[in-house]
Amino acid sequence: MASRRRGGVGVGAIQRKQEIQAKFSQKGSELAGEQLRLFSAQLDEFTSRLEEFARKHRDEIRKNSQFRRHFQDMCATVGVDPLASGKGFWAEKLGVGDFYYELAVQIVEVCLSTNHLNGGIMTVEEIRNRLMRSRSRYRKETITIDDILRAVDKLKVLGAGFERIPLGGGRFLVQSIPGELSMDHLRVLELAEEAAYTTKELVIDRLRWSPARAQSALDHLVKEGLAWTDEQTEPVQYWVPSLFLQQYCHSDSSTSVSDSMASVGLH
Amino acid sequence: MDRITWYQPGESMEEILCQAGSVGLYEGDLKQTEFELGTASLTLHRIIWADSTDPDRRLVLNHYLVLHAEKHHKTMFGKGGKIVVRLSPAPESAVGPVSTSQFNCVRFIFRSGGEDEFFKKYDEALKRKTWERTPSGSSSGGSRTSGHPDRHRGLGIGGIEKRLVENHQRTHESISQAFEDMSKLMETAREMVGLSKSIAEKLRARQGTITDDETVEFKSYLLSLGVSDPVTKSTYGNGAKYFEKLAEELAFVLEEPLKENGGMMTLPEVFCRINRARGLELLSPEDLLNACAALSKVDTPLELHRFPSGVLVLQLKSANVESTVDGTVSLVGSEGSLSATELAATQGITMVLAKERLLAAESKGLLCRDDTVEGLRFYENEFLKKE
Repeated sequence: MASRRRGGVGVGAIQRKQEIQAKFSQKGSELAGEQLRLFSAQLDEFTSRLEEFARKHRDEIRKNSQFRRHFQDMCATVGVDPLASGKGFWAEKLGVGDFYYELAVQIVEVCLSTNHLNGGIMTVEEIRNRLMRSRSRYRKETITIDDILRAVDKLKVLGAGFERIPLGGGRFLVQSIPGELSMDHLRVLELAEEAAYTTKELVIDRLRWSPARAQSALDHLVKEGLAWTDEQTEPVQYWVPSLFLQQYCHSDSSTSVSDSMASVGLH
Repeated sequence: MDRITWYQPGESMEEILCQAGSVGLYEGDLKQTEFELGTASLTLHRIIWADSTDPDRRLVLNHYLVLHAEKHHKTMFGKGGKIVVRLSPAPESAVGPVSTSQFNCVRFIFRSGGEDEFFKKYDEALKRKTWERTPSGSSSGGSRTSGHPDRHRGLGIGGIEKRLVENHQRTHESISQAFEDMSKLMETAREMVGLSKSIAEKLRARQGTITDDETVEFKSYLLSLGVSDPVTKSTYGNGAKYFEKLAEELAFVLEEPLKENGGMMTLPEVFCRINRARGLELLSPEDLLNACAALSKVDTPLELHRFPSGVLVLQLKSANVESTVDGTVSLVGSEGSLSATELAATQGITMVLAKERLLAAESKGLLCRDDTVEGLRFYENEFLKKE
């Protein structure tokens, strides 16, 4: 007994901690102050474990997207948000912050530069293709769709309409302009995904809507700048820029949207 | 198609080299398939295709089965660019969706692009033949060509390749260790979260048993950990010196750009500028929000403003939207009518801000809207003029 008390920091500290924890779990109504001291002690221990982990695996998080995703999923189950603050432990010691915040900056820039063309909606794949092309010049990291969606989720608090929009089947659009898209509008967009355009007849036929409902949804998309009409076709075609630009964007090496549009014959 | 096997959970922890969404998998030259839409992930050993509608339904095509792969561009009538893969005969123990097949090739159709990059990496991975040299961590997946490193290669390239392979092997071993370490770390984190919630609960119940300083300290711990608590979130902005310092930094970095941009900027733009200026130790969006909220405590010419629509902007105190109303109205007058896009283009501001200016003038009764399929346009209020 006596020798344990006299022991070095290691054993003695563990012993003391066990005593505190025992006391803590016995009485339900500890003074908050005492709990705080315990918390603070545990925090020190956690911090040093985190530093150890970071020392060994910091690079892995940047390079390995599966590892990174696993990390995010685990944080979610535990109940922590590693991206809450750049000053947070996770961000500082593991560098996850810089990874995602930089990605967020690039996403904002891509969206702001294309908003006037696609009405503020892009597929997450197009964002990813553009980012990979502009990043690959100086680094080899893979950015996954999961990474992009998490960055977009963080941008939501900035109040400018950044949001992920589920299309069903695990596919997503990213919105970057404030505005409400109803379920009807989303379903029309989903229908247009295959060929990048749709027609009123297709909407009525596939979704079984009344002509008025179909027209109203299509009109809204045109009004919001999300769809363009081609009235030279019969029936009138409604093209969704954010869906067709991406199919042509990746096939040439330039990231310029105007180049892509020129290649489609649009000016 | 009989060479494709079902993915076993935990089968592959390899690094993903490339990913593409909206990919369909077709047998031979058949036009129909059960596997229409999924995400294709490429590793050094295989392609994993995950069904978009059911992410647990996954298929594996191992690289060692590939004789040849080629890429085709999207044609006018095709659904997307494609990669056609010719395969060697199926190993016996493979378990997949199709038990026998008369076709010797499969097609990956890339409905939303990405086939160029995917093919480039696929080609590299196939040339590497990593599976011949290292275990792939797979517990399933039939026979493997026996691992004889290519003895006929010259020392030069062979040496480099060998080092790459050794690196990969080391990486693979350390990955398993990494996952284990992560689990242990998360256990500790979980305890912390539990304890912090209990403390937060006590704080809510009996205010005043700990000092204000200790409360502030506790809240900063919560922020560092990334534990969110509604109570602490609402009052957090108050005690933190950190955010006040950030607020000063914001003012320092953004005053000039704001002046050049009409006095107002949406937060995403601010977010980009401040982080580009910092380069390292970037701010999270929440950090930025908290810093803007702290502006009122510090002496700067900037303030945070929230429009009725919910849009948040950072603005010079001297340049609130009220001051823009007269200017906006006369611009509309000189053009006859304006849309948000047009106003944005002529004034060099974003569409979001242009719209807010028009809305502000409208709410003062100086502009009227015309809302049609062509878009939203604003006109001067003729009724006022008539008086």
